[in-house]
Amino acid sequence: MTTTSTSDVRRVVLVMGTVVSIDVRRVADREAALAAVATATAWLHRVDDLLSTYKPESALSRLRRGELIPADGPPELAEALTLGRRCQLRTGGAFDLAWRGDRRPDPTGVVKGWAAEHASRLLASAGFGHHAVNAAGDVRLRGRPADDRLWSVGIAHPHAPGRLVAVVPATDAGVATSGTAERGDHVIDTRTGQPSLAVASATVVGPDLGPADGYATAAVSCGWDAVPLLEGLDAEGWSSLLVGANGRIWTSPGFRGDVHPDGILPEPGGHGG
Amino acid sequence: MTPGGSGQRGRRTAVLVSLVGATVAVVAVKGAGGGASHTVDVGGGPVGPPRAVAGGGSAPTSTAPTSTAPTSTAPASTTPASTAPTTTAPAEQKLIGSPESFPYGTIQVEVVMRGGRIANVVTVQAPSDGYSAQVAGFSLPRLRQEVLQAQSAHIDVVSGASYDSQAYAQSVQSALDRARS
Repeated sequence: MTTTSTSDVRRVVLVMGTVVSIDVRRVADREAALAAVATATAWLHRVDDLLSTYKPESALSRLRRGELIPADGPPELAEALTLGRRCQLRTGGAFDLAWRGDRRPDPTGVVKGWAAEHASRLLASAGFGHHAVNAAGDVRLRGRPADDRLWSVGIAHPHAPGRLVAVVPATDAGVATSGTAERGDHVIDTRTGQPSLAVASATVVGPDLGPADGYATAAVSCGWDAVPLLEGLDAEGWSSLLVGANGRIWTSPGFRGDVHPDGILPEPGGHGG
Repeated sequence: MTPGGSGQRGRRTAVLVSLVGATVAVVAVKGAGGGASHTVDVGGGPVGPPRAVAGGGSAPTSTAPTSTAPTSTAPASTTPASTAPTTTAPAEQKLIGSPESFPYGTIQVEVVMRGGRIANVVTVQAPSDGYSAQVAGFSLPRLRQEVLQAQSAHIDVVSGASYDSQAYAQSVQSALDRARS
């Protein structure tokens, strides 16, 4: 086996009002990798322009004002809405496209994960099959960071700042974490309209980051009532981890990874490059 | 779940700073929709010849050692008696970021560079009262980890999100901007 010189390309992009980091490993052609990252980044900006609820002229804003129907909009809008509907169906309404209570669809709860998933596919199709795309905590992993190991994904501990509640080994997988703490009480219990607080953090691991994002959001929304749903999803290849507001930890049968109820510190090393 | 882009600013900069042992590229591109986007490329990969970056005050020397060759060009008089002749302590550089606003207050960070890598990110200013402080208390350590993860050997990536990531990243970026020589 020949040893070729490879390097890593890491970028942090501010887009969609948040941080997306792109980490491409084992890169032989650095220029080509930078071009692929630029393509993925441009696509993320396009999604931001199309699907932001903060931009009055976005396709989503126009849809929500009744000025546009999905069939006349860009394909990205239809795709995000379809994904949202799929999550809504599968979660029995716990993930709710009309969560704002105005009967207008808002797929924001899956857009971040879906966008990272798509960005990852763009990188893969450009020939860069070893990478991590992290959209503010929703992560898509592909390939391996090195020949001899899998990606090591830390799950932020909702009750222990800077610590990890679990470490999950992963290769081609999406890892989505939704919670009550990171952005204030931003997940609404769709049954009561009130903020959901019983589950501090829900992590869903599976083959596609888009649905994983929706399922994690749904799990926080229903609190501990999400357990039967998550057990059903487990049989379909989506494993999960819940951390309660009271510190209780639950994992689905298929969850792989080391769980640390008190939290562990990620070990910083001098390794890089 | 996507926080507002109201705090975005239309900065347009393109900076490439080559440091000892790593490349830090800071690129900000004005977005079409009026919001600014920022790209920070941290570390990794082979780099060209190091360009000297002004030291942060503590380290008097800003010239990078080219290799481990035991040359005899060490300054004669001011060298402190050192028992480790082969290792040159990497110059530490502290870069203060600008204060950045987010919906819960203001964030300001200081980036500590050592040996051409981000060694630490210190929060200089963060919301200190009530709920805002609680939010910051949860998220700032994660954001710090996010920035440092490029240097972490054991954890590749962290799942779990933060509201104030944008302000944090902007402050980090403004600190890195100051490494421009």
